[in-house]
Amino acid sequence: MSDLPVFLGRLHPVLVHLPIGLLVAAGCFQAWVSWRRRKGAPSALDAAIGPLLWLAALGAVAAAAAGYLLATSGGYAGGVYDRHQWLGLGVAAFTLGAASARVHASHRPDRNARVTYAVLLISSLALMVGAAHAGATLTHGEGYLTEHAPSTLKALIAFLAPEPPVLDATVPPEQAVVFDALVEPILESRCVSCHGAERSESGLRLDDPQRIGAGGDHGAVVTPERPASSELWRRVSLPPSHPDVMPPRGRPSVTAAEGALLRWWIVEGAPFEKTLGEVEVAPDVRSIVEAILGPLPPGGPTLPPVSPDAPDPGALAAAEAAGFSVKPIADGVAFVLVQTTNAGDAIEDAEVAALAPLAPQIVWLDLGGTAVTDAGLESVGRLAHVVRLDLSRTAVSDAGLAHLADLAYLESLNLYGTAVSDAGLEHLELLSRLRWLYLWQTEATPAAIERLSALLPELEVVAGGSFGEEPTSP
Amino acid sequence: MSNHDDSGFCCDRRRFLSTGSLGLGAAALASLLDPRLLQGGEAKTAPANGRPVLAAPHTPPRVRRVIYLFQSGAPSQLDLFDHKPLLQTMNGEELPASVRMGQRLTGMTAYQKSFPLAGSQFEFARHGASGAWVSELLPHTAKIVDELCFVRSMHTEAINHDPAVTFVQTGSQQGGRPSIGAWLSYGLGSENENLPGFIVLLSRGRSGDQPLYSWLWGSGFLPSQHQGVPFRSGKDGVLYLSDPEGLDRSGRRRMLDTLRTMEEKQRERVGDPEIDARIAQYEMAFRMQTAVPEVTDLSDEPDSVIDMYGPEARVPGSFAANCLLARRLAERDVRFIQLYHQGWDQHGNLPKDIRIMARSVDQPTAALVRDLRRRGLLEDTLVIWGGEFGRTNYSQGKLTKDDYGRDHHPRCFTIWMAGGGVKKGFTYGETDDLGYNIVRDPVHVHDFQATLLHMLGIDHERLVFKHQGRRYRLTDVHGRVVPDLLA
Repeated sequence: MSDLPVFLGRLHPVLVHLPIGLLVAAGCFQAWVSWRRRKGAPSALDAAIGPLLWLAALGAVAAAAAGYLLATSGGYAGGVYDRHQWLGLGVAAFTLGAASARVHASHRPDRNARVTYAVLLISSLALMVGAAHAGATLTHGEGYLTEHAPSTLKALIAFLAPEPPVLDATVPPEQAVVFDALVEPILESRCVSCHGAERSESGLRLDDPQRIGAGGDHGAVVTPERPASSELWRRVSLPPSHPDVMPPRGRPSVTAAEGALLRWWIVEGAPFEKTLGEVEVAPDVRSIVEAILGPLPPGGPTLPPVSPDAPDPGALAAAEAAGFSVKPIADGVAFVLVQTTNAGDAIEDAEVAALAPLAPQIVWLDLGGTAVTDAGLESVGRLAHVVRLDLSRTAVSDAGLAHLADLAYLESLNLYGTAVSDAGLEHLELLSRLRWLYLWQTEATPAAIERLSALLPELEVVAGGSFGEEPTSP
Repeated sequence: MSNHDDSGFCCDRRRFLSTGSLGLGAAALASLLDPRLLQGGEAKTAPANGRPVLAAPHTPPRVRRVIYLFQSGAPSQLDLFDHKPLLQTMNGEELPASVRMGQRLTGMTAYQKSFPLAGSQFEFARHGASGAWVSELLPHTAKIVDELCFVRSMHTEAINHDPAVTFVQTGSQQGGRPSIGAWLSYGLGSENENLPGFIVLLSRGRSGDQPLYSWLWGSGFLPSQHQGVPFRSGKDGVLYLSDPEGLDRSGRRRMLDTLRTMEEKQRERVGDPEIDARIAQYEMAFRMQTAVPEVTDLSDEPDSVIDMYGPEARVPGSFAANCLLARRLAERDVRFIQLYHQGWDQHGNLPKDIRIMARSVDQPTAALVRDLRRRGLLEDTLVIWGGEFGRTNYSQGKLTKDDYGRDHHPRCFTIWMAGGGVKKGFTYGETDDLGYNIVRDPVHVHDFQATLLHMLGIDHERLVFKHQGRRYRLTDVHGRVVPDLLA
């Protein structure tokens, strides 16, 4: 479908730069000629100024006309647009004026005519600077020019025109509002220059939640939970050569990380009010979110709320030499898992004592089937951050469990196949975080288990026959 | 003379051309920026042999090992878990076109003149505190539902057995990609020095069903020591593992040492990384010579434990015996224990055959979950039970009063999981009243795979292997973790 006014209107950016150059050239020539004349040396450049000015005036009128057509094709409104329009018209008018005044002054060489000419020329140059900046702001968005300015210049600008403060860095990440902290900045930097208050292409505004929900001339752009049917995500996820891609070809496109955030936000139902703690942070956006807002509390297994240093290499080597296998539980996490898969009964109380320097880091400790005894539990009791402890099939007994009373983070304790009895369970009463206790093939009686369960309501005791009706232990 | 006189094995044409021109300059620059690179520092994409590619999981894992009870042939979800009273009421009526919506069928039923809806002949009841529906075919499973996480909205892309099993296991319908266990062995390595990190146990519930192929536990383009090692029933748990008569263990050791010297020379000359894989496999096999007989010998299991798995647990190679063996392997920290149980392809004669199948898996499966739990292993083990697709709600062949069959149905099927990573006593997803399409919370095979890796602490988008110029991963370019399933 052809639409001549729109076509001509879109020539505005093509037409607008030539008169700018001509006008700047005319201004420079005029400055040079006036300076030479003051020294009594007329310059040949004088003759070029007139034609330059007329061409500039003609170009400015054409550019203004095209600009008008572009504006009528829709999507432009607001303060910056108004400023650009009036300044642009001003440039055209003043340049015409300056060209005429120059003709007038050459015919009648009096002072008034020269002053009029000078005022008109300087004004048209000044208006041109203003119009150009407003136009660039419409195209590239607010703050484009100074975004990467040296910090001293930025400080100067901030001093002259202070801006409202941005995100409060003291808010914990999980309390940050997802839209405000993660989505809005993307829309602001990639979309709002064309879909905002100044200019709203296709009637779409992405500069505030209500208007995002309202969509544009072609309907809704966000379908909660369905990114593929959400125009907002579909358009930004297209390949850069696709005619429908947004931001349009030639503009900086949405980065992979930004795209992933937008998609995730839509999948989560496109909420405007929800905080990060109220949505599921998908694993694919987790690192992106953390890069923006700082580390999130880890999902998955429970870990003590402490951040120990990385384990000491000497301590790791000593533990490995004692027969343990020690591994970080995750990349970039100081907590470690200690296993005895390949050591078997080579692990005795003395070896367990060698774990002491790793006390801040050990969270999961497998000592099942080793030769550890009650004496070794004294060392285990000092591993303050242990969350899961496997002592199954060992020689530990009631007396040894007394040493575990200080393991404040202990969540899972495996005692199956030990000689532990009711007396031992009494030592566990203060382990308030204990959630799983394995007592199959022990001497513990149902009465004692019931008593402990009453004291620790979160606790689930697995004694072997705790579900189903099948007989369990021999 | 050998003409393998260059390092062509570890450097293909594409890589040679792309790096050769820039290689020297890049190497010089890189070494200026990071001198450790020239001192044999850690390479990120090519770990030293035997060492896992990830020094640690991406995130703290919820589970540390997996037992996958794969039900090959595709069990009928409509007769086991997905209760559809309307299907029973409409038994014999024609499948409405509005339900089928023109979707493709297999060549086995596409030309049937009629598609009579077939309600299940089995009684369903709610079980446990969670009230999960299970049919009378699985009385033992019904007792453990409060430990299980049912996904009734699984769907797949393949419509035939082999591509569908391959899709679940490798993320691709064509064979040749690494399977889940191989990816895990490559990514996280083996915990137990004496056993491989990926072990496969095969069984069949009845004869004459769909075959299985070794690519299902293959390593694809990953170094070949990551492939699954199938354990057999009978005298030799692993083929060719025992020494021949007259060769003692020290003789075997000397032989391997000599062989290794030769292999290393060849490695230096030819540069084929598969030689490293071969050395690693020989060494593992040597250690397995003692570890395998020890783990497969059930004589230290008390009768009460064996009886819990059912009478078949004493029959080597049965599903029950494999479940018991799986528990023993889990106790030894084998990371991925893959069982395959064949025989679920009930195109016809369903009521009779599914009984045989259900009986062969029900008690051992429930016993395994219970046994793992009382030993504290269920807390960090994930157990998965499921097939490659579902079965149709209409009868393949003639529907009679007491007989029907069901064709392949990729649009929906049910699996369950149990263990520390998933919600307990939970049912996710829903199919329509006739059990044909998913109406809520679909879970694609790639989503399932992404979730499985997530529970092991792996970001499915970051466990990749570059091969033939492309970065491959288990979930191809798809997959989304299903957070609702996670505990």
